Amino acid sequence: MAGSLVLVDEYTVSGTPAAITIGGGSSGSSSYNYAMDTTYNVYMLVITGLTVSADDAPLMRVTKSGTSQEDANYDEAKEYFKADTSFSTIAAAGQTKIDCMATIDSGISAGGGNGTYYLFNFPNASEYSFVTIEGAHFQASDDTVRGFQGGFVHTVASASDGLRIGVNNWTSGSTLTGGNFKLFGIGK
Amino acid sequence: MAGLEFIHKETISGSTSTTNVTSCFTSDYDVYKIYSSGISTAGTDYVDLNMRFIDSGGSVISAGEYDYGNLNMLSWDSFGETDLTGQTSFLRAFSESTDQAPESQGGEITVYNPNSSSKYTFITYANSQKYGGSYMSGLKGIGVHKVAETITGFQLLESNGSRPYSSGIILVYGVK
Repeated sequence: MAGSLVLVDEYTVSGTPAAITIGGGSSGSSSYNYAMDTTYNVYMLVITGLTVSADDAPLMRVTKSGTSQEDANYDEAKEYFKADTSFSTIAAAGQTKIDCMATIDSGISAGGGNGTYYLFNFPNASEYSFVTIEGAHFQASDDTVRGFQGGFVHTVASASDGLRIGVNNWTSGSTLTGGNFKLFGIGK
Repeated sequence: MAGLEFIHKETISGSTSTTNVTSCFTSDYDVYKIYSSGISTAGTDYVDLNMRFIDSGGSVISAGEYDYGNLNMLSWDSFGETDLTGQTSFLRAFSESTDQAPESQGGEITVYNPNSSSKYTFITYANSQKYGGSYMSGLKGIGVHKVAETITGFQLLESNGSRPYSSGIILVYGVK
């Protein structure tokens, strides 16, 4: 298996941005300027230690030519795992964004959000872009671990080249304060 | 540019109820992948396979410091949840239950931030298994070790205490 997982982009949050872009070519937040292309059929994004300035659920959108897609074409189905109480189901169509993690509380530095996301069909212009989600974060107010398992699709048949991830719909207010993003291509 | 880098292979042999994999988490990586397969019981009684962490002093952490949430996907019955806090291990992180070969299990665990002394260590996991002659199940779960300390390794343990396993492999990789 070694050698088939290739790091193509990496970014560690610096400052307090409302959002970052992983992939997305020259619109990306890192100096890699990497745009997802047909070099790989499947990509994997790993997020570790994502923290926020105020309690908020980080959201995710695909980018096309580096531009965040904010149309109402996101469908999602997720199970919300909770160590402290019953799980809940989240299912919706025609959304303008996807919460890629549930609400991360800002009051505990040891917590933060962590997750692995597999990205399917992103470079394929004739297919929708699919994402699977698995994550775990610390819900400080409930003093326990929670996380999403599931996935979403952007139902527009055109190539996607990255993901934009942030909080508070990229508007003023809460920001990202920490976290590392690694994007891998999975070798053919 | 790297990717998934091999760290350790643990081959289980002999009848045992615990397996410790030490010194596999270092400052070289933030994220680790653990794959396991073919962990077969020595006898014919099936058993759950849990997980604990090992601290920087080499001691297995058996205190009630583990929270988890599991979705048990059973082929013969309704799906069920197990969500608990303050437990002494991650229930079924390696296997919802395993049995003597040719039944047994396969599973994947992702470990986040074990080397950080200032962050909790999180895991996500998924496994698939066959046991009891007719039971097939899948499991997905999340967990946190709710103490901010450096974690250097992990322990596989069977939940019953008297239903040992005797074969199988565990592979550890760093994600870089």
